[in-house]
Amino acid sequence: MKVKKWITGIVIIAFLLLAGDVTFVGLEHKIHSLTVFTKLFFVLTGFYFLLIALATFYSGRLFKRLKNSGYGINPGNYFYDWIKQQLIANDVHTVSDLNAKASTLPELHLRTNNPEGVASLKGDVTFIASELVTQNKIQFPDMCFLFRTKDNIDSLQPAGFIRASMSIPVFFESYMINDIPCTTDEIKNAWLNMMDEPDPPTTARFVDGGMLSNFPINIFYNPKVVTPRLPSFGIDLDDSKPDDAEKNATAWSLVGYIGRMFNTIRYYYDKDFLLKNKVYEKGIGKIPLSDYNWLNFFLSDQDKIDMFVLGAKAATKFLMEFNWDDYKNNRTMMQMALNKEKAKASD
Amino acid sequence: MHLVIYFNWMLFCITFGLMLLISILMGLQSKNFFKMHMVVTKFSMLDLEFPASALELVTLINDIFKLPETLVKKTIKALKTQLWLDFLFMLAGYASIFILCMKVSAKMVSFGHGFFAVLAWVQIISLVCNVIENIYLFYKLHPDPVMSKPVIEKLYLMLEICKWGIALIAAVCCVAALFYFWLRGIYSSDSLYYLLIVIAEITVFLVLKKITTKTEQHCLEEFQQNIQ
Repeated sequence: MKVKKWITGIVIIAFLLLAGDVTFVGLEHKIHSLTVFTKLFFVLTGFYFLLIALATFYSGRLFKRLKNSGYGINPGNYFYDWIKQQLIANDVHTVSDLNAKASTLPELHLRTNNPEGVASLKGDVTFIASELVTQNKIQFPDMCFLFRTKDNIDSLQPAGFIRASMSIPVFFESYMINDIPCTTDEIKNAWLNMMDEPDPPTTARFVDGGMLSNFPINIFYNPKVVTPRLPSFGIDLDDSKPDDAEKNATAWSLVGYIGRMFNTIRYYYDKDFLLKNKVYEKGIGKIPLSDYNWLNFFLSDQDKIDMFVLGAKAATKFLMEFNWDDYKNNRTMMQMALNKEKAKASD
Repeated sequence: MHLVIYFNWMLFCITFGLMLLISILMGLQSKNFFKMHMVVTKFSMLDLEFPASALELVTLINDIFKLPETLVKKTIKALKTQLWLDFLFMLAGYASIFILCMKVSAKMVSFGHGFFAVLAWVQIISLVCNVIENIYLFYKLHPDPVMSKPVIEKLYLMLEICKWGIALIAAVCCVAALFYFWLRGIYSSDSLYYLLIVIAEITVFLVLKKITTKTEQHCLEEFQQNIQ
């Protein structure tokens, strides 16, 4: 409505100025004293059209800049440098360092006997990004072999994975990995086997992994384990507002409509996993954060403290209510049922 | 002291033609304006003139130096040539506006007479702003440029607004006034020849522009040729 009002206003003023020009030129033949006003109107008209031209040019330029910067307002360089420094401060310089650091665990022991033992338990870290060229969900650093040959994996920068995974479209520029040796057999085979992609790109372009998978609890699912040795906990930052539950499909605003479309895509991947593996829901704690916008980049210190308190309270409630035996039994039964189905299918 | 100087339209045709010619040459240079921002992308002189912040200007210049060495040389050479050409362009450009304002002023009476004469003389401010801007950019065009202080950043922005604002307002006011004279028939028939010359100059300019303008992809391919 505001845009419509603005455009109407601009057109009306332009029309009035042009009408003034014509009227004064016509009258000037009879009333010479109007000459000053005629000239003034012509100059004003010129000035007005200059303003419109400048506004149009500026809008066009802003859009071009947005396009050139990968449709992102913030280049993300500051974040990239900051996270790189944090990683370096923790002795993570390369992908190998990251893997080594993540896999380091304190000494573990099982309280109850489990045939799986603890030997196969190792730490790992995953950053999820959405790759736009081939339209895939990429898990870093696991899938680094898609972008570099094995002997050259360390030429990738671990800070780039984190930068890629937080590239919220429009707010941040996409992150890119260039010079993928896409003609080598190693890379070709990697893409074909992993993504069924016969023609790997030379440049990959990433945006926020949350676009596809905002709550990737599925990466913790290990089908080889029948009886879990430890639970998979997930913390869901629930920022959905009470309005979001509006079921009247005709009552949404355009923003609400687009938001719902976006959220349907954003949540479906993970929702689908949880629908099929309901037991994992038992390991998910929710922190109610409906008063905080996930796109608020200017949170006050008080907001941060309040969020921390909400998190601590939610964690306490979740841990108090969590029933390990129940979780373990359900998870075991789920896997046994899945294994049975698998065996039936292979027969 | 008289503010108004009387010029012949031919002088305007010459300065205007020169301005268009130099603009074509500058356009040719701008085909080599590339930077490495994750991938090789194009930038324009306006990106240097109107950065969103001092950090953006520094980032842009740093991005140029992230290109392979041969391409850095190519871009920097093109940028410096562009800035040198801009010294000629500004002389021709502001002179054109100056003459135009003086011509309009001469045809005006009372307030309009003085107003357009002042508009003509303030082109000197635009010229000075442009010279300072070019010197500032010459100073910045080095690897690892220092980020300007907020005061300098604001002054730079003011400088750009003055430069463009004064020149554009003067040019548009003159064109609007000339349009008025045209509609009222207040012109000598001799001046029509000069109008034809200006139209011819603009036509040649547009044709040359069309011939020399290439797509961004084409420019990029040409730019990346001969990498050793």
